[in-house]
Amino acid sequence: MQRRLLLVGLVFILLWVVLALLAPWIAPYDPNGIRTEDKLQSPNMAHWFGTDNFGRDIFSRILYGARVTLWTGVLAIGIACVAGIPLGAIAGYFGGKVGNIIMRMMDTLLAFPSLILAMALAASIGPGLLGALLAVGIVAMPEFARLMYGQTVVIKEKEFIEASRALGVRHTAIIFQHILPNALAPLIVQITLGLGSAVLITSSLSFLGLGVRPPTAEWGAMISYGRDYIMSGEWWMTFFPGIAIATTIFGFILLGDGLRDALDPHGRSPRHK
Amino acid sequence: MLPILEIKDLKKHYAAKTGLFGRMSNTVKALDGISLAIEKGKTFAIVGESGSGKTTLGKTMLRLIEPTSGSIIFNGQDIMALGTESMRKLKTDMQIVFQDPFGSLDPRWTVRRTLEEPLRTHYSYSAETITKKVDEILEVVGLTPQHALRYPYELSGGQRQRVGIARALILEPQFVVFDEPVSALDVSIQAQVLTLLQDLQSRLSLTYLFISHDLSVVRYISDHVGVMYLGKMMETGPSEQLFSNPLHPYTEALISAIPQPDPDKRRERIVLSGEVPSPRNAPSGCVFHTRCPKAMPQCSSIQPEWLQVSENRYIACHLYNN
Repeated sequence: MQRRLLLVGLVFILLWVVLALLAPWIAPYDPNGIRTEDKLQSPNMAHWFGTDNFGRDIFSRILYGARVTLWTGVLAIGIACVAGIPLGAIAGYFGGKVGNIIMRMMDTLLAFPSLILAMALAASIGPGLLGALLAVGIVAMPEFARLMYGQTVVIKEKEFIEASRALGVRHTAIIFQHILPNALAPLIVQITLGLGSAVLITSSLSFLGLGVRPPTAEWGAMISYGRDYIMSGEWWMTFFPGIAIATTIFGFILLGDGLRDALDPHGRSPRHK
Repeated sequence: MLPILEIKDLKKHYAAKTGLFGRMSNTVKALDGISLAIEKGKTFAIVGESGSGKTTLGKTMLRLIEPTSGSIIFNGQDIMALGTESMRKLKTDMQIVFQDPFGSLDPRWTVRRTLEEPLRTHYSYSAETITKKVDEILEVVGLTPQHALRYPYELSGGQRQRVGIARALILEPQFVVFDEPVSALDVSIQAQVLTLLQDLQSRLSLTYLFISHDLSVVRYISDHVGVMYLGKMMETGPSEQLFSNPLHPYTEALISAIPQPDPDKRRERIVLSGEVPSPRNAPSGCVFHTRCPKAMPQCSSIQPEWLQVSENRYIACHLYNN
């Protein structure tokens, strides 16, 4: 059962990756091409997902939006990993005052609701994709720091770490060559789950006008444009980007959960071997 | 003969906080004034029950655990005075083999990578030299180059311990600490590994500190023995003398507990009553007085001094204090 869910997640994510990569070839229209004569068309043979208030093809915009969404997710989590993992490793390995200061700072960040913190950061860095990226990266960082901290504290007590110290191996080499590889499995799970929440937070920021600038096709921003048309019956403007966001997040969560079970040798039941 | 390694009054105290908010502080004396000297090319064995501080002693001698006070003199140099970088370089001369052959190898590293690590850490050899040295050391410890491709989980306990020994010896150290190297192995494998250690010692003229709780193993391998109890050295002496004529009541009790293979050879067995006291609450005076069959009134109040009783024998006991 778990294996099947992992596969479902993988299919969702691969589907979006392929669609994003092939967007220029698949998309029937220019995602930013304004044709006011075609505006607010309901889904039909020419415009599968309908058109928005500027007459832009929603299907094409969703394909191009996948590129923005996946890239921002990957970059934001990249920032979170590059900052969070070394901080957690240093705090866990050396401990003491430095470790305490690092981890209390991470706790402080974790204490804020993630969307509120992301909004505050994005607003202070300035609207635009770069601001959103950094904001989401900083919001996701403490989770990685905390996970790596916990892993490091456990792994550094293992005898093979002491053996390396007895051989005179330098601390940096111990951290990168012994501790990090042994902490990789839970980190991969966290990266996958983190990608899901990064997608959610970046689209939320875009929805609130703190993410990408118009006219860039981005799912959260598309929902924001469609918001005014829900009551008047133009549901397709919000529905399709909503489905896109939901399936992406769903895919990452299934993948993350599935990987957690697959990478944990203790949780594996014999029939899945 | 000059000792290759000498420790003087080595102490390792841990502050153990107890009570709410850790207001009451208690000192655990894991090592309390240990002195010994190890001659080049010999095996000095440390015996004692669990919690006696023998592992702490082995690790402290290599400064894997920083001692609270005392001196460690290796080849005439006090290594307590060395800085981080010189201490790191000294690891090529002083090595350790750990007790747990399962835990002491990185599960994600092949045997070859594990054995290359010390070489890459200390030298900038070419790839061919490293491969050659790894293959050589594998052969020395009785493995083959095929084993180099394996991961620890693909090896048996005895093979893993051989890898642990190879890793310690690949830097060609002069002094090696063996922390219960065979206690996790089957008896038949124990004998193989012990023979290997003796063979290596004579071939490479190594000096060993051999930590064990198994007296029959110690008797087999050691030249000199130190008996520890609750962080203190009770008695040291040449192996033969110590086993045939134990002086300290604790040593006597330990030796009487060795199983006797010959059923006709009866020997009086001294059974110690009670448990080892908690190191957090070590007894006053002589730490052994609570269980000592020969305890005298002064034993509970006055710490016995570390005395030389004959050429090579030292003891801490009031029975010999005159």
